[in-house]
Amino acid sequence: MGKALRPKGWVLLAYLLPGLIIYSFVVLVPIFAAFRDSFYSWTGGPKKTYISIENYKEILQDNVFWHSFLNNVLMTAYGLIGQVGFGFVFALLLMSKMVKLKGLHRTMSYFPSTLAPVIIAFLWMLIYNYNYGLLNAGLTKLGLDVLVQSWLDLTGPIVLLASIPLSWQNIGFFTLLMLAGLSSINKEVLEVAELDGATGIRKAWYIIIPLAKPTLVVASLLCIANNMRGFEHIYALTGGGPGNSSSVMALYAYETSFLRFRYGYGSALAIAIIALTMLLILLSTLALQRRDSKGGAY
Amino acid sequence: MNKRSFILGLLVVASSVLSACGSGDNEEATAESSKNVTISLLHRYQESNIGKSPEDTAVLDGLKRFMEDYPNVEIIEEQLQNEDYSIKAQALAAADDMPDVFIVPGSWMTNFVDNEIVLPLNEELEKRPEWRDGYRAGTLDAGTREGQVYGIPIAAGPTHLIYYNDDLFGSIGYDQFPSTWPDLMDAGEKLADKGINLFSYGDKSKGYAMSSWISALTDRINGPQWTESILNGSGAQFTDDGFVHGISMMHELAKAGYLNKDLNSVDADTMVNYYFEGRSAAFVSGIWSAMNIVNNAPEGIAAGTRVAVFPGVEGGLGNPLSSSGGAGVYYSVNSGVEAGEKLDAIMTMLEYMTGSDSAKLMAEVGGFPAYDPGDFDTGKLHPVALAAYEASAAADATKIFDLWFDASIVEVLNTGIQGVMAGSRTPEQLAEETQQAYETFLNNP
Repeated sequence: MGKALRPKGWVLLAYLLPGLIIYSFVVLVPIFAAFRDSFYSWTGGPKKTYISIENYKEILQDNVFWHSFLNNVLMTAYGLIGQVGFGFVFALLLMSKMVKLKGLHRTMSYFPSTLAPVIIAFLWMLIYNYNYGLLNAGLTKLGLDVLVQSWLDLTGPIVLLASIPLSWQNIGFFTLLMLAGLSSINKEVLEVAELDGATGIRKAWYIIIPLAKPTLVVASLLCIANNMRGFEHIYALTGGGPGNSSSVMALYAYETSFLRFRYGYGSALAIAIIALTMLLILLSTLALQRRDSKGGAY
Repeated sequence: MNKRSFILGLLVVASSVLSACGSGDNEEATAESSKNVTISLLHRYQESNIGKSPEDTAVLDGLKRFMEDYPNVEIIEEQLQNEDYSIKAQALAAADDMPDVFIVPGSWMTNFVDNEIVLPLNEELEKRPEWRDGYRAGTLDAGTREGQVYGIPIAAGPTHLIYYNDDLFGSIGYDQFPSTWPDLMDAGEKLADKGINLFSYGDKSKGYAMSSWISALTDRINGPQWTESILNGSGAQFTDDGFVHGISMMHELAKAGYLNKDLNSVDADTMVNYYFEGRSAAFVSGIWSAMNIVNNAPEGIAAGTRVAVFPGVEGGLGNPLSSSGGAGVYYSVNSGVEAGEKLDAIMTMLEYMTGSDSAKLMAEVGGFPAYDPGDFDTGKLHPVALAAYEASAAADATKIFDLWFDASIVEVLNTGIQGVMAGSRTPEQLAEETQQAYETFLNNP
């Protein structure tokens, strides 16, 4: 941008100010408030008792919380495959010459992203339903009656089952993100690669992936952050059940505060979620960056 | 251009923010000028449920009559859905910003009393003895702490009744509901052979198991003394045989395949629908389901429905005719309200909403009011509603755990029972965990 067109510093600041004010009120202030409350024993009324770091000590021994944390990590892993991975594959397909009606495909794959999480959860509840569900009806049609289950009552693979709707919803978003990243790759590079005989998977592996790495990194970090603070889908789909088997950290913090009336401990859980998420993002950023410098792709 | 549009934008934002604040003030100002007293009221009864739910019908009718009789009182009323109500009320309580009158479920009561959110009402009730003494025995209890009444009950009645299809039981050779557990298991097996579940069950929203099953079953086995002992902290434990036995009986029904397979992932509405569709021969629920059957069941099902309670357990200490019950939710007054004209108006309003006239109406449309309605016209009641009412009146009500135990224990039990029913943990493990939560609670009163 030319110097003459650039707005003055104070104008920029003024433009940012409303957003900044709103942001600090809805994000920063509550975080600080939660941090303060996390040192109290508080049952939700005007009375609070200062108990120092007792709440944090309790978190260290809280099996349900750590089980929920593992569920979040598991969901993140499924998310990286189901959302970022499949999003990338879809983007590659949409770039290739084989696929017709690209506009339609793009719209269709983005469509679930426009729905509210509660609607997604309801839709998938119907799909998984034991008596009327699409999944069981499909299995019966295929003659696989032995596989017919009450899916959401299974305690074992419940996190995977809950992650599928999440991926279904977000795949369109990540596909678009990847398409934007892929379209910035110089066409000439791709043409040269094709002239050299690199097509299909070879082209994707040796040319596109290294060049699209920055986009992949951003998408992965977004996906990690999304899954670590996941709440709505689980809340509406299983409520964390059966038992605690599909509980996630945010849901546990919510239940602790609002169902068990332990607002102080709930606040401590919220702070723990922030800390763990930041730690995970920091670790993954470090890991991804180190691989970059090793590979020297860009 | 930049500067001008920027200032214009700021002005628009500022004016809309300011006007929003301003209009609120204006409304209150006009209200105060024409009315003497303003009462803010937050509850979970809804206009749209009138005619469908006896509670909503009776309470809102009482409120309407009050507003007609006392035009000088301005009522700022907010009606919310059940779950929305819980979230909003708790957020307001945490922010110490409760309205004048609000609803408190029994399990919140200890917490609200400890935090001095609710006002003790003994003095006010003393002035109105006739109204106070009209409540059914025990219905004020869960709203009372150390002799002080903090809540006025609305509806009472069992949370445990069995609605069963007489025709289906007849077809397997039972001309009434099985009267012993071995008979019940036998009926379950015969029904399973026909591809029908003995009970349909839906605990997705957590809490159903506790209010409709566990409280009644535990009482059958342990008797009411055990519950009292738990509440007083005088020795009884959740790891005691009787409690584990009750949970095991539920687990056995699930394991034997006598309940629907999706028991943890469907809610109570679906559970009732399974009964309507003939997928199950019975379901366990509270008195509130009676009107659901009357209004929504297919004709044949409604005509064949009878009401029973769990059979006695061999060697059990509890009364085999009892049902878990009592008042569940209470109207409470903000502790900030001072004695005087306003509190007077509030008490009168509560008498209109929950007292004699309201109770009569509630009974006539199929509900079970906390206030004794005396004789009322039973002619209008559907046989199912009448049977449920009679079973309720006859049943010796025992305590519903989710209203009496502390919320932290209730939550552990509600969550854990799902695991037991899914088969991922044993009744012993659940008892162990509940006992742990109970001890934590006892150690930090």
